[in-house]
Amino acid sequence: MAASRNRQLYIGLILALILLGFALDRMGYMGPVRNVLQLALTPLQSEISATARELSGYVESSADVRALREQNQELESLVNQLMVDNVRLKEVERENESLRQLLNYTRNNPQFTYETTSVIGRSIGVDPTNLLYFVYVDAGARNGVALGMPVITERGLVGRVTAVGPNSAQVLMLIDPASAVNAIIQTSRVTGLVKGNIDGTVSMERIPPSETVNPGDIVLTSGLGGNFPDKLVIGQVTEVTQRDQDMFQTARIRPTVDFGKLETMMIITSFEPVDFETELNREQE
Amino acid sequence: MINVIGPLLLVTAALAQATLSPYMKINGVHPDWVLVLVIGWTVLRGLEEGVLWALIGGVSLDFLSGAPFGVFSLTMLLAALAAGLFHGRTFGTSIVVPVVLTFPLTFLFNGAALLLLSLLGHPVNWAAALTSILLPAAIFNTGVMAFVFPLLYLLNRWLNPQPLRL
Repeated sequence: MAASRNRQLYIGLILALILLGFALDRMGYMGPVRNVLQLALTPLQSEISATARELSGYVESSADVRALREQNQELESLVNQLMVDNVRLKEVERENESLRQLLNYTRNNPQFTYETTSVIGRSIGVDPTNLLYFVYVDAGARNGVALGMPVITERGLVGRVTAVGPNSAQVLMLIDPASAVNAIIQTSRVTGLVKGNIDGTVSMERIPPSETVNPGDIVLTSGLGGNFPDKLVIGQVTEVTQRDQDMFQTARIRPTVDFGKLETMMIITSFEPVDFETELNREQE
Repeated sequence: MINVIGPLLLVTAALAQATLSPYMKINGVHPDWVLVLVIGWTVLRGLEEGVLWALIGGVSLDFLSGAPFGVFSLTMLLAALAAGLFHGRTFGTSIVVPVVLTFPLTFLFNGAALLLLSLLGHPVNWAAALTSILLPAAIFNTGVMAFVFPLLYLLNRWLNPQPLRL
């Protein structure tokens, strides 16, 4: 009887501890604790990730295969770069044309190139569970990283910064269900909302039924909402569906970024996300 | 000895999940090493030690995850409580109990975590979660338990030697 009561007390105590931690987190008091732990763990995670990357390379390939893989990677990288360049050029061309028509601008208008300040971060870890898609990079507040900043690779959009520590940052990936990015189809200029799914796929929702979207169309960030800069490559449409009961079409997107092999990422530090709620509150005050 | 080895094992497993999981994925899911350790140890050693392992493992996952703090500690505790019901029953310390238990307890752990996340405002598509996460993870963890449990058994024997029966 006494043993059973002691056991209940013990389990109750542990439950109370967890609930206390949960409550402290909701009140925002766990942030500094997490930061301190991240500070201590970042070098360790960094080392483990780097070793794992090296080991993975050794295990996967023999010498010949390695040479071929390197060549393949170079070519892949070139193709990606060319694809991104091509998309960017098309965008610039379209923008150029539209601005010339609307504002009678001259052909070689220099404001189409915009400077970006960025920070390079290496992936040091991912979310340890199967339910969320976060990646951690070894660049933080000390490097100028702040909440909401967009994160990209040479292939396209990765996501945005959702938490910042002194030396590391947490990035919510595009494939997480909590991620939502305003997007535009490059050719048809149809807008929609790109959302992640729990199975790690990405889809573009809220496409008006009257609009035509085709497999192969390139999807870019639209810049609407002010959370992301425009013209960042997201992916390519692979399938378009609309059920009878749905008000909108949904397109399945194949992201250009391989989220399973993220290594080096770029955080665009020159971009400041617009927080409309704060702006409106400020105006009302 | 147990005070050091248990927490060390759990923190290492959580770190492995946070750094090596991209290399351990099959069909988009990776094994929940911490959960497997907690279930195995609870079946071997009973509720008291199992709950302590659940707390250490859950807190480690909470610190390394982007989820609100406490989600994985709570669900890990739930899994340990359920596993504790089967400590020393029917098959003793046979491998059958933990292996068979891992399947429903992985469902319970991930399902409860998803439920908590959805209550906290994280969008959850349950149909997709069932087919792409809950089911594959349960199968994967069950397979992993078949390899991990014998090692836990040996660890238990080493840490808690049985007196010889003459």
